[in-house]
Amino acid sequence: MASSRLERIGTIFTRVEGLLTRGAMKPDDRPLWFDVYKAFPPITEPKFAKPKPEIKSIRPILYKEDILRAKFHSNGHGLGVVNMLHPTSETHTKKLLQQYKKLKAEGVPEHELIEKSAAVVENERTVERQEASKAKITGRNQESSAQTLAEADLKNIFKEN
Amino acid sequence: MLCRNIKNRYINYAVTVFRYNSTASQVILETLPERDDAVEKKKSPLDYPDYFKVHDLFTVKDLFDARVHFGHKEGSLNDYMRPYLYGSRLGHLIFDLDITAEHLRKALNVTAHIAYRGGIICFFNRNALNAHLVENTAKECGEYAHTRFWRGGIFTNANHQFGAVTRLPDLCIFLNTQNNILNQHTAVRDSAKMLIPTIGIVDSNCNPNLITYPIPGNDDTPSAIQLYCELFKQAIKRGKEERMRFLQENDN
Repeated sequence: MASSRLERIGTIFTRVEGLLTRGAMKPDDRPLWFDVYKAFPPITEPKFAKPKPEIKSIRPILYKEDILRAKFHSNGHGLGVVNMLHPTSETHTKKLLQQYKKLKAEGVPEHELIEKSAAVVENERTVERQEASKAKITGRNQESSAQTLAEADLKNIFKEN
Repeated sequence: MLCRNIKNRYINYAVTVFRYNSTASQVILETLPERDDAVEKKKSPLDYPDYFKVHDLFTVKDLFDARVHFGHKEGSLNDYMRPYLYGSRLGHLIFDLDITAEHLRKALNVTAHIAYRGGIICFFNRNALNAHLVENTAKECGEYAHTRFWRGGIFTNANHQFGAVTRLPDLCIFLNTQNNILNQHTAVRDSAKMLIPTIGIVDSNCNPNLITYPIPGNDDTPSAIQLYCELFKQAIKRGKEERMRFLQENDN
């Protein structure tokens, strides 16, 4: 069967179309995808030698609160670990920003805002961490000791079978 | 004479059935006036904009949650990927997911149509982290995958390499188009040479020119690859189910 391997010329569609119109390829032998391509052509033609798209500067994505983020980060705050398995959980920096907003609404002076909100968030984090570790230790101890006691046959430890 | 007539009619019938299966050609159908009306009434799946309803397989939010919008850093940008970008967040490129969704829907539609026509589909991926996932996906939808080192000439010299006339795939789906960070996968070029259409996830450092249906998006993160795999699997399944139904209806 006729085919054209010059992938740099035209597209796969135009090459097959050329073979078909000139009779090198019979209509029965046309590839299976040909009609699909004809009905649903790609958005841009898949040509090897396309002219480069117009080079515009890439728009920077910035937010108003980036200034605050920069302030927090330059003071060494907001560098906590992010859990990427929970997409809904809040990052350290987001908590700091929320605290900042809250304190500002309460009327805390501007120069104290950063340090104060960082202190509040840090406090919350330590409390959370302590609770979590306590729960983990007590939970494990209670469970494991009770289980081992229930299972152990203390009287017959040294008895031979 | 009678015998020959019957034979001719039989052949004509066989040809039309075959054409229903694959692709209807107007030239031969016009010579069969009795069958023409039936063909006109029955619309081909290609006449519908979204016959397999792949449009509702995903939403832009799903793409965002799977981190499809993350590109590479600005320095590695391929100029041909510029139209697909939304912007740059502190040096990291971000894709415009509306554009990605449009391209992805088109690609899914084409995949379903090729599966409907009984085409062979081959998945490609050269990222070791996602290789197992891609191979499993191909196995689950009864298609093929190539995730290992590409020996040159698998497509272009197939008959010699495999020692027999070889049927090449009818569609190649690339879950990443790069061999490593520097070189494009040779199969992209070879598919274009062998007149095989390709669908490819192109990241901001890839060249989309030779890919027939490029999809701008993140090609590294496992969550994104998982989403693509799931979507292509669904599209292929829908195409195959429709094919089975068609074959059963037209069997008797």
